[in-house]
Amino acid sequence: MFLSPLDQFEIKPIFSYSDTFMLSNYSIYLFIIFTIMWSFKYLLNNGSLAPNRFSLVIFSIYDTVLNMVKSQMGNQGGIYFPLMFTLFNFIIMANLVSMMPYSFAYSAQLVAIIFLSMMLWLGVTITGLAKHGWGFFALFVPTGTPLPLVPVLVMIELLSYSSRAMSLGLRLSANVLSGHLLMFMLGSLMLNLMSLSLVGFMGGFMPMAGVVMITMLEFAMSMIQGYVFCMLLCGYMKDALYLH
Amino acid sequence: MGAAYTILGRSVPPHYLALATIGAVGLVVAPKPWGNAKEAHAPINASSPEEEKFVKEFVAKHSEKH
Repeated sequence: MFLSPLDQFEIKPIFSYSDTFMLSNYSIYLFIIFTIMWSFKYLLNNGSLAPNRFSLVIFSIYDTVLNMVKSQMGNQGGIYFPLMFTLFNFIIMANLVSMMPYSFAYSAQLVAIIFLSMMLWLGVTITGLAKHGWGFFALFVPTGTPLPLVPVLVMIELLSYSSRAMSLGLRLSANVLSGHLLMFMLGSLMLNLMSLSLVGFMGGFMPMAGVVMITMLEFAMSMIQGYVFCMLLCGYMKDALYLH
Repeated sequence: MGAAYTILGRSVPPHYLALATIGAVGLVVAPKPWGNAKEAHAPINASSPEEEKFVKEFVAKHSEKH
């Protein structure tokens, strides 16, 4: 029984042992997500001649991510493919696992996801600095800018570049958080209306249609957000590697 | 990397301009590490000298470092 719509995002201890070891719902769901990702190795059905249905899904994900990386960064960006593939799988698994009723939405944990995006942004920046040295700062001067506008544009570009660290994670987290809140609130409304009276029972079908639609939207969102996250990260990586 | 700019007949690469801008803004915005360090405190706005004295004593008494 949930008390408030935000209760579902709370990290609660499930098992603890003498103050030194604690398992929370957060760590258990992280373990579930990694287990699913690890199971890809066994789902691939390497031993047989033809791929099974699971292998086809994994091949499709592989192909999607490979196309994304190559279209953004060219063939040279191939070394970043394992990172993007892992990130994409991690995000869609976290999102899809959270779609199970009464489960825990890992990707709605703002601290975890924004920390992840900040570390990725830091990595991208370090990569750019390592590749170009001081020349990396040419990224803040868009090509063809008139000289008097350069100082203004440098500050705007600097602001836009640094806000990427937050916005990348915030986009994913806020979407998942709002989706789960909406599903919970519509579900509660449906339950309350339907338990009121016969008229309420009939009226409860309207939020039920809403719940069905929002749930379908959330399933689509689970996959789209993973794609968007990786696509943007590829774009940021491309900026750092090739400048403008 | 974008094309270089020509300033006073010299070719300046764009990252020099970016670094100069960031450096200049940093110098203006950053707090000066030199000069006298003034201790910041809120204005007392007392209506009489006695009140001001009382407030000063009260603040001094209660902000002692332990």
